[in-house]
Amino acid sequence: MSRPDGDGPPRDQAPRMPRDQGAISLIRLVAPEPPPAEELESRPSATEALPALDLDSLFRRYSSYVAAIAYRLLGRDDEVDDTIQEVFLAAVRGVHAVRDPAAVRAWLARVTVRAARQRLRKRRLRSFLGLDEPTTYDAVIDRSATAEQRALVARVYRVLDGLPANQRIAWSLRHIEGEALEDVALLSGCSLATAKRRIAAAAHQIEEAFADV
Amino acid sequence: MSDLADRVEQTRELIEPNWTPERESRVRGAVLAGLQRQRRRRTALAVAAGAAILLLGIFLGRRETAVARAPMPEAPVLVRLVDGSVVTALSTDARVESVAIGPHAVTLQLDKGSAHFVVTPNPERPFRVLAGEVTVTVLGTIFDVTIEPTGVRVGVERGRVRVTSQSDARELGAGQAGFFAITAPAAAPSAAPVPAIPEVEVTDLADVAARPGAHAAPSWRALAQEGAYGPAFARLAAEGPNAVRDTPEDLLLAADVARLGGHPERAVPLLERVMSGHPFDSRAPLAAFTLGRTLLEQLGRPRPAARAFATARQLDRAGALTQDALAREVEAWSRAGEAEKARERANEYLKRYPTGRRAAAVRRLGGLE
Repeated sequence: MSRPDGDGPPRDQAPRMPRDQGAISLIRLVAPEPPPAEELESRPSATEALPALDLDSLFRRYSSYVAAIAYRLLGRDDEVDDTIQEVFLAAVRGVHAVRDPAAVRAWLARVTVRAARQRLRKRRLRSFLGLDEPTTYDAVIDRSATAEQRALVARVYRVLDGLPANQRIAWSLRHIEGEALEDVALLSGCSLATAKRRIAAAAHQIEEAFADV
Repeated sequence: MSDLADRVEQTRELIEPNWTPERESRVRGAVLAGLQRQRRRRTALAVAAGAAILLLGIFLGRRETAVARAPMPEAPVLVRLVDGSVVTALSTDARVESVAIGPHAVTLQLDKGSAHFVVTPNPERPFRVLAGEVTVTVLGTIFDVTIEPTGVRVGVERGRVRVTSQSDARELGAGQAGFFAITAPAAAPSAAPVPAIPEVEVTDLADVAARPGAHAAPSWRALAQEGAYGPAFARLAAEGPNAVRDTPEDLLLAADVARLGGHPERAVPLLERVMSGHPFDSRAPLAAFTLGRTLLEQLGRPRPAARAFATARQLDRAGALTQDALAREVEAWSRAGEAEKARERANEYLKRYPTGRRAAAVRRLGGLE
């Protein structure tokens, strides 16, 4: 999240991370942001155990990050807030099991993926029962996008709605979130081979859907 | 990778939620509420289980000498200091920020909501809590402070405190609570839009008793040194325009009184006077830096804040503040919507301090992620 206040550089001007670096971003670049100097004492030091990871600290540091992952996986802004709540409530219960504070970011990403998967499964069930409101996904992309980009992304998300949750998540992590294959597997909680298979299956269906246009 | 996937990847930067500070605050409140609901459920279950065990014990004719008490709901920790002092939230919207934490004093600010303060006794390190114009000063006790729409509520769990407001003065002992209703706004006119919180000072009586001359009317400087910024501001305003000497020390102290006493706009000319009238004083860069923080955090004026941080860097010949001032300048330009300037300063920061303690935030705020 490069624009916490909504007034950062235009997205099309923002420097884009090269593919290889982007691929390792989620897992390896997990060092938490150092706190401002004046807050150093209000947060436990690095030598203390994990009481530093209280909810407020976690939320301030990682909520925008979790929001971005949830948004890209779900494609619906109105589901993001609830997902964040689920993630941070789970975080309060489970984050103390994370022994390395530097791993918290990646751990939260995995929790977010799990929460998104549950939501996507419920959404598919509701859709199957005719209870899910159809979504156009026209607003999922920023207003500064071109009409072509807007149409492309909206159509991709509509096609993703028809995929099984695991395939959708694997493909989204790979191509929307920009993760490396190994990281897609780690975040999805499956083997590398399974991750590849899911991505390929999703890609096949998406390309078929686009071929019909 | 297919052409389609490639085209989607090119839109990645454009697929982001509108994650504003207001939204963040709202969701955080919902998380805290959810957490409290969970804890209440757990507590209720524990109580029910305890009651069931007790009833079973009675039923079986056993003499239970002690029944395990249900655990108290664990409130979220807002601040934990290394001396053991802890601040926990009593309401879902409670928010506490550190103003100054040093070896000789601790000052925290309760922005909103209700919080529980457990202060480890240390006569050498007064512990102050600011809540709007409320100042709570203690040496070691347990108390709650709650900002309510019509006043301030103070509850004492341990120790004995004196609570004074403009229209009331009472002593509260352990187990007692007092509500101090809103009275007329402070004597000094203020541009601040929210004079809703009455000026209340809570002082640990042990501290007062130990202080020589405690009953004499203290000057604004004495009040400020004690951390009673609300009363100090009222006294300062009453003493008139000549109350502050044109020295960096007095100007900075008066600025602290205004800034921490709920009148940040009054701190601006005082800090500017230090910068313009005493530019070669070693405290001038600190004045500029404080001005930047006041403008940015309290007055919501990021553009002049950015300029103040830039001035702080120029004045800071010793270099002690330069890194933080540069990082803050990035933040201020970012908040002002000046993305290009934010990026320039961010690049400058990262060039000078590639592993600086604010590098990650600078990268984010400068749009370099």
